[in-house]
Amino acid sequence: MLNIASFIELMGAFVLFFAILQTASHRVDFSIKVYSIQSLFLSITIFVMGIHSNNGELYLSSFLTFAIKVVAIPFFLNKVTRRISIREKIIPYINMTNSVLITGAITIFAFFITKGDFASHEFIARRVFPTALAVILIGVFIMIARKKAIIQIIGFLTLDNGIILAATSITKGLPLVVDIGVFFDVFIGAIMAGVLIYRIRTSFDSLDTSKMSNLKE
Amino acid sequence: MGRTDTLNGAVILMVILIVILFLFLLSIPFIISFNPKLSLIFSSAIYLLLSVFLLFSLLFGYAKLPLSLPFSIQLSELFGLRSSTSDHITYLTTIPYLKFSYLFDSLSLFFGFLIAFLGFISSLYSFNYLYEEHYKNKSLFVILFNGFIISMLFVVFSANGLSFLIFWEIMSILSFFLVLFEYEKEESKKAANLYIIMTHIGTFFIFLLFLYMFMKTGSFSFETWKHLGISGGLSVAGMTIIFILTLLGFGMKAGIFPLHVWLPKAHPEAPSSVSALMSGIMIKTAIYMMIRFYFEFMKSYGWGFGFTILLIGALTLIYGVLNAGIQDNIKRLLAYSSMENIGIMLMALGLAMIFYSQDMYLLCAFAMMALLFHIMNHALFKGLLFLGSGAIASQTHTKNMNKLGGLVKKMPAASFIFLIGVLSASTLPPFNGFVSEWMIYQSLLMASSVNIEIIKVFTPIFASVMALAGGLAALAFVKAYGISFLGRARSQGANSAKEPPFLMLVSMGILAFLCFLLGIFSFIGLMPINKVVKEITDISIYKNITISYGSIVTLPKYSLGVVSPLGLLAAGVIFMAAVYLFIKIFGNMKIRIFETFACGLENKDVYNFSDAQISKDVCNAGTSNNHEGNNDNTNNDNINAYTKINNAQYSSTGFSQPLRRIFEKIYNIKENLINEEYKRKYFFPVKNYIFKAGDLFECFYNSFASKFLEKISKLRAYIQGGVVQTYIAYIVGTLIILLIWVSWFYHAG
Amino acid sequence: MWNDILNLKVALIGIAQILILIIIAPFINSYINKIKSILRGQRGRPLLQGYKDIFKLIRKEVVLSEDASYISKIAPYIVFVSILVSACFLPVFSPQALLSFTGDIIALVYTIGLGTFFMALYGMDQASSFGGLGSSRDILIASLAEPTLMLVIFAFALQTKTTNISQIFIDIHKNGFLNYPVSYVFALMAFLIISIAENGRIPVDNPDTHLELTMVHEAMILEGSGRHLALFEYSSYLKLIIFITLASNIFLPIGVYSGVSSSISSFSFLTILYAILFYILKVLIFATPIAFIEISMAKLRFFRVPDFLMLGFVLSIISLVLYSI
Repeated sequence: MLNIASFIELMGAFVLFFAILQTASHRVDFSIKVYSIQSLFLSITIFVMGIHSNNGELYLSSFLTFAIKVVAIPFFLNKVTRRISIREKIIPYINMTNSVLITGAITIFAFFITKGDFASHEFIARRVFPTALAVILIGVFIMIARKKAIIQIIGFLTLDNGIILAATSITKGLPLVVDIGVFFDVFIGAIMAGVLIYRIRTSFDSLDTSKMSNLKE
Repeated sequence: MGRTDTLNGAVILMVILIVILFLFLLSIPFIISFNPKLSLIFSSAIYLLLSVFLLFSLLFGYAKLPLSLPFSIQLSELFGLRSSTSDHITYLTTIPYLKFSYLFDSLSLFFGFLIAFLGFISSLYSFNYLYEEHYKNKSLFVILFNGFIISMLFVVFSANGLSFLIFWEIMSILSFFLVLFEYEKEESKKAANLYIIMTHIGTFFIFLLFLYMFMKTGSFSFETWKHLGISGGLSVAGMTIIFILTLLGFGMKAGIFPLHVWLPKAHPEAPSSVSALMSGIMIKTAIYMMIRFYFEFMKSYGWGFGFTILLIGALTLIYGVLNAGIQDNIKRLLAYSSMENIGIMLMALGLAMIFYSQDMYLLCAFAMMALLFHIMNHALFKGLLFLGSGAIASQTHTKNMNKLGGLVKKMPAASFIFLIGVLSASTLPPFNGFVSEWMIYQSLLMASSVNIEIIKVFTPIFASVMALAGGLAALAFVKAYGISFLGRARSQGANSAKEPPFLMLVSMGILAFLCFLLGIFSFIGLMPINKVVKEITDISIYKNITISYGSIVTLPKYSLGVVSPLGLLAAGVIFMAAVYLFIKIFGNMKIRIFETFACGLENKDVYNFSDAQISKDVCNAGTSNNHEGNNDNTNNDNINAYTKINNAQYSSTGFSQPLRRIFEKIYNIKENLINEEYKRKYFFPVKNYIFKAGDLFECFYNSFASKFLEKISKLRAYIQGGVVQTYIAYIVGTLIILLIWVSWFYHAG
Repeated sequence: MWNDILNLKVALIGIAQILILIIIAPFINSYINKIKSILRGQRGRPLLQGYKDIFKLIRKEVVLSEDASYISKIAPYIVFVSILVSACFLPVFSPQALLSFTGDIIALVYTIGLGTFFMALYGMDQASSFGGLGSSRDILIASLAEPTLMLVIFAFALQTKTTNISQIFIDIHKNGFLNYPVSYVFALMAFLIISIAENGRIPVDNPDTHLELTMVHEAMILEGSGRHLALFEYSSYLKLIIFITLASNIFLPIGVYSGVSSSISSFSFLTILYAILFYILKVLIFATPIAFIEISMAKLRFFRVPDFLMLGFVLSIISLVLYSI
């Protein structure tokens, strides 16, 4: 009953669920928590894929996901939020109810366009790719629909999780060097974004990116 | 059309109908000179007999039985009747194309039975109701009322386009007069105007529809129209035209979204026994014609039509129930709930059409059965609720729920009957609404066996919309019952209410009993419906879906589930007894009566103060609030304090506030908190909360209509310039055009 | 069918199932409270506190408002009995539910709805302003949660082509849930959300508070006392256990469940006992996350609740559509 492909799909589905929960979140600290749990499920997914395809590099990739995305980045983001004391709520362009509805539509769309014989023989688990696609689109949607810079970073990180999920599901893992490079990239990106947030905060007294349009004058 | 010496049962039915018509026409002078009460008793007896007769002829097929009576030829000569087929009668006139034909097949007999039965109940009810409401012209009411019922009967029995239209118009106009019955009230006038305009727009589309059918077949007879469907002589475009015209024409009468605007205005303004008829059966005559068109005149169509109906049904459902939740006027709440039920019926109709178009006749029969059963159930419980609201309104002289309350102690019997209606309308077991809704749920689930992806994906979502509507309907009816019957009286009117008179209670009691009976023993209601469904789909599924003891199962082929209301009830009773005994043995059965906790404040019922003076003051305060007399503000503060205690209960407006706030975008609400500044501005300021719930679409139509009328009136002002010469020019111009037209015809001919 | 009903063993198993539900319902509530207390670093109430509360309340007299009508006297019984009747449709540890022939899963939802209806009427019967507030909010939450509940149910009804609960459970136990893993996850989460909403647990409503403006369920039964309060409390325990049972049998379809059904002829006491123990274990597994959620989240503002329910609705729609695609 419980074959390994199903289990991979199950874990992938949890990654997607936490991406949807991300759009419904009202608070910054909750968003960070959701991101870290999502990354945890991502690392489990990659680990199980490693078991399935007997690929040692995937174990390392899984471990790196855990170390960087579950522990380091949330820790760092929490530190930034505490430092600049973001106590306010998340300010959306599109309100929560509609965001969730749009996210649902995105998910169904992602599954709809990839149905049928969409290069299915290449996949470890067939439904992981549409899941990953949905996560990518939701990440983009979060970046579009939220005003706060920190949530846009979280949207970007969600997007990155989706890309990694898609990559591992199609190619049975990237080459290790590329993998490490990507992780390093994301980590540095997150740190730089954090620093940038700090600068935005000090110069605009707010994290609202809609106020940045004042810069053009 | 040869003459025979045998007459069939249909002729007998026709004779009975015509005799009733003439009896009422003849009895008008008597009614005026004598007693409306007598006439109502007389008519209710006739309707009872008629409904029994119609039910029996439906069950045992009297209409098709050839009977040889002694004076059969003379009888048919006398009434000018010609029977063409077994259940079809034609009455020829000298005007070409105008034939009065009547059809007594199972479908029309079913609807005729419902009309006659509801007519019986509401005549019985009106016997006391007219005197409770103190209407001035009671005789006029009786004439209009009977005419309305008879015109509805003729509508469903008509088998010819033109005669149908005539009776349809009579029905509309008589119901218009009945809506306008309390013509002194501004509200009534507005509602009646809106109603007559909208219903005539609907009739216009029906007329176009019939003309189109005439163009296609060269006849107005329903018989010929049936051949059109069988022979398949309709193109897709023709089908679409017919579909759209039926939707516009009959949908206007049924109150589908977004043509519903008249419904929640007109139904509450009519006298309650008429509202019961209008909501209970008149709006369903439109559904009746839809069934005729979609299953008899149009035979083969794609699933798109059914899906459109399903979609419109879902929209009607959700819009109606959301608006029902926020109404303060109890009859308007019920009217919106009727709209919701029309939505449910349309969903069942749409499903039946989808199955029909996919040649799944078994499922079609099941959905059809659900549809007709829901029509019957809705006629029963909505009739009951409207009659109950009439009882409330006649006793308390208000329909505003914010002024009701505590009626359960003033009118215990009526409150119990109303509770049954409320439970049935909220589609809760073990009452009849639940069974038909359950059947529609099953039809929706069975739609997943249709091999079309859109239907597979959407039907469960429609089912969830229905679940949401079920929950919100429960909210609306908890509000209707809880606010108006429970708690304390919110006004002097509610406090002085008494139990309504005997016949009002009896007529409501019959309906309540039937709601319960059909909920428990649903097979009784499904038996006549099976005859109708068999005639439409050629499949008899009664044996398959009912087993005795009130248990219903779905079709064996698609076995989805079972429900047995009787089993539910029995289990409930057994458990109730067990729990009661357990508490009796191990627990404590004592009850101590004490006042309700009000956070440490004194909490006395204002209207039950022993001190006569205070209660008198309260009455005065209630009246002086309106015209701001300020003659006796000596102890106004005391009085206000007293009335506030009773008004500290949750009000109807307050009850629906969360709903209003969550769905605020689809409501057209005006809320205002007015500070009456001239009184006290800083210490205990007097504030007035004004709340008005309108219909979003009414607002939309109004703005559209006002723009349109503005254009038209500008055009009119331009044409009718007030210069005499231009008028003469118009006359000359018209003359010349006429001359050209005539000469062209002359040369062409 | 009638033979089945008259089969003594089946009837006995059915009765045993209801008794199990009735017996463990207060225990599960105490269990959740205990876990919460432990997580907070308190010692917590004893695990048998639920039974003691109920028994004590039954032995107290009822104080009834002078404005109350017959609704107040019958509503507690109807609420309790409606929950009990719907429990009868529910196969607990074996597919033989006592009254599976009287109703399916739609009937279960509507029978619970009857209880909600009468509880809301009870809230409005005492002319208290809190009662109306509670009724208004509770029935709104219930009605907003209903479509999600139905969609989750339909996702499984369509998968198994039946609405009969026993049949659904048997099919899921036989075929497993992992044919549609994504649907499964989303249905599970949607079901969790509506279980929380329907039972008035923390992000939606706080079962412990008696602050007038924040409570929903408790405001309705504010005037309840004595045996009436006992019945209300007991029915809320039972409702929770019904939802947990549904979840545990749908989402964790492992155990001796189907084994009992096939070996009804080789009826053995030991198998039944084993099944019961396994069932209780599953219930405890599903009750624990509720305690964790309650401890880690704050109660939502009332007008945030629709957002929360909307999330559940979208999840259930995704689950259903992905199954259909």
